[in-house]
Amino acid sequence: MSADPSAAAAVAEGALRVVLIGQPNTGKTSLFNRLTGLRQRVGNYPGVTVERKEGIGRAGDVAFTLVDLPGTYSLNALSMDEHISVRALAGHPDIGPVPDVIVCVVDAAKLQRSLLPAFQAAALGRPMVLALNFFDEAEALGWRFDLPLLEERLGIPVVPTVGHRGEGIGALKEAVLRASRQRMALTAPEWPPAVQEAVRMLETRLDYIEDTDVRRFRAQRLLFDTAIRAEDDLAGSPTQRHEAVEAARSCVMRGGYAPATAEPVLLFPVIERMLAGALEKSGTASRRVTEGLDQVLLHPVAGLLVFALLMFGVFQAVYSWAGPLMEGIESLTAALQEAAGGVLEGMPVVQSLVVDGVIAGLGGVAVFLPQILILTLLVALLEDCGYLARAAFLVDKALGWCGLSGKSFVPLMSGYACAIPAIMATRTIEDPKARLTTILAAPLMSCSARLPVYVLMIGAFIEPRHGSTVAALVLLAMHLLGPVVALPLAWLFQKRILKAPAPPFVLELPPYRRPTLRDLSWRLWHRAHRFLTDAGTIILAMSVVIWALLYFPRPAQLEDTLRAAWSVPADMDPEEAEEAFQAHLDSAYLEQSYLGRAGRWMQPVFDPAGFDWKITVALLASFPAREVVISTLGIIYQLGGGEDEASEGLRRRLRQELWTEGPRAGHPVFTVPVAAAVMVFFAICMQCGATVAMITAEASWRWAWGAFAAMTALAWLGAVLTYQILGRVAG
Amino acid sequence: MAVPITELKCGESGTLAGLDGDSAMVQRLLAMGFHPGQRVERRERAPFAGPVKVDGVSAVVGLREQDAAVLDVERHER
Repeated sequence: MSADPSAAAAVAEGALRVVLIGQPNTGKTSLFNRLTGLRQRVGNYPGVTVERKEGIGRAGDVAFTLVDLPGTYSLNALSMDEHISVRALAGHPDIGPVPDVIVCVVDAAKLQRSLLPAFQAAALGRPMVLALNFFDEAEALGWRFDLPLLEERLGIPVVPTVGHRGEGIGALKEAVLRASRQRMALTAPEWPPAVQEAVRMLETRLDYIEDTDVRRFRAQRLLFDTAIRAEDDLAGSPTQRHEAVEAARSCVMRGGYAPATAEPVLLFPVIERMLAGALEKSGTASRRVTEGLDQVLLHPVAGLLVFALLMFGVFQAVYSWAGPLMEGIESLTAALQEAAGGVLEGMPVVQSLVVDGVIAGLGGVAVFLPQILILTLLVALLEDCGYLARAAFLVDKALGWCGLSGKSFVPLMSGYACAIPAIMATRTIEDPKARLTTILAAPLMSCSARLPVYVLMIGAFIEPRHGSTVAALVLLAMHLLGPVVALPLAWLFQKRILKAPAPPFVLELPPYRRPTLRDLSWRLWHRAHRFLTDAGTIILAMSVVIWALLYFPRPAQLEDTLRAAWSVPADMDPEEAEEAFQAHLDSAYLEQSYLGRAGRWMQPVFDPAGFDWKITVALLASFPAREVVISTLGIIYQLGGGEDEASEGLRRRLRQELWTEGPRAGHPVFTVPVAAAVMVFFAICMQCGATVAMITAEASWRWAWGAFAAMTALAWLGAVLTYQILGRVAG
Repeated sequence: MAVPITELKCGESGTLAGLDGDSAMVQRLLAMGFHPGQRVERRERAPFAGPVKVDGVSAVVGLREQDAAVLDVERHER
């Protein structure tokens, strides 16, 4: 154990490292936000979808680094995020040094059970502070705490707090300094002889760890954590390590305890004794409001009705309310493009880079903000008031079979509006595996950017021939394709790829609470900030790269050659003729750009789906965003880039398009099977640079590009099957 | 006689007699404060045979049927 002077030095340098531990739903995050304000760094722990949150706090003139560890019911880690908390406490090299002060956040109204992690961490011998959060709720239940007695028995500062209202924050900071200066540590519980013996056996294998407290902590974790293989920490060969752990666990069993459950079974009586007399529960605990609300909100009929209404509201909000804001951002982008285009006249390359690359890219980032903010706000409201857990409870059955839980419902549903806010909304899923699966499944839901493609194809080929009923059914089918493909894949993914057993699914139903404006606005600020700095920069970079691939090479003589061969129809006025020539020129430049060449070269790959090279080029060019396919088709068909899905000109042009070469020469390119194949391709593929960027930011670039490749392959397969089967049936 | 809590009707309560085995679910429930001797109440069930709400002394949780069945209770007489 380090002596007093070194701790004092740490305080003086502002390098005091403080961690927050505690069970889920104890209000840890609110406390973290209050203690650090906006000075936060949020990222992921290396290689996993577990959020890493660090911030700088200040107590008087002392600065400290605060780390918000993932919530853990017990340090007996059953999931990846819990394991990270344990490794952070033990000072694992990937995560950071052993903390100087541990702040254990407990729910005052659930004091007995939320003290478990504190007593498990006691072996570390580090200074500790107990934050009795939701203190107001415990008092409202009629509970009376003898705080001085509790402090005396535990030997550490005990601070009542109400994190979401900012009460007790000053006292908490002071307590952190006091615990650090006076080295106030929770007295480690006395184990029965069999457990003591087992811990000693493992300690001898960990004697390379100099700090004896850390050594004892690690030995205890090795002994009790039967779900996590951490034997690599031990000295000796793999067989020796395994035998050492087995021998220690047998020793515990001889004492009459199961290693996996010995800790809670032995610690709860200790905790009960500590609390006896210090906590008086007078009167009948009244949870009447929550119970009454649950009778309605969890009711099989009334509950589902409220759920359906709320979900419809959330979906409408993301789908419709964001619309005007997004249009505003789009027209602002267009105005900026026009202004910049005017200023940069005469420098065609720079002009195009700024207008079509940078400004278009920035606009492409900003356009997601309305949806992100609206969905984040609504999900945060539902989560903070306690309803989100009830919603997960109601629909758990629908998603449980494929290895997900009810918690994946809201993100997947939001995917129908846009995958970007949906992927962000997965942050409410604690289990990292379920979260990753949901992140990868959300982009398969048919987002609003796919709609223009459906409208164009259905409007041009299906509605005129088969009527509006069939058209509506096809549109519905395109929207059902997402879950039909995604859920079996999620099942396969959970079973075959993420083989580690799922942590036990216990859905805690917290009491209903009133959300606070400050917590909500904090969350909005952090999400927006995170999106702009992480995903936004990647989206911008991709936008510029795609621009370059579409712009270069750009031989100036092409224009001269084309103009020489261009004959103006006699009945056309000069202005119209120049416009027609420009459209012709744009199409020619696109065709010989790097991406255009790649499209021609790759056409054979898409031939089994009935795509000609023009569709293939449009498909490649629409990588940054699928809706771009329509304006690209407009350019290729020499109609200019302003075409939209409802444009009659584009529809007519598509119907007239004929194969110019190959076995199908002279036949129309677009038939019903081809139109259907195009829709299926766009329904399944991940033609969305923002989604790739978002998955990179939330999981890793490996998952992002892996998902992109898998979805593209799946989309190709779907398109080929659609074309071939429909072709046979119709032909 | 102790029965799995899933045998109780909505609104019935009992005394927790024991937890079945030492599975991950049992470890989690112990950590959430479900210990023998405590009062537990079976509450609402989600539609389509979904999870069951269990009201314990220090936690209110939703448990899937097979998971809830590890909680053995002595039924309280009404």
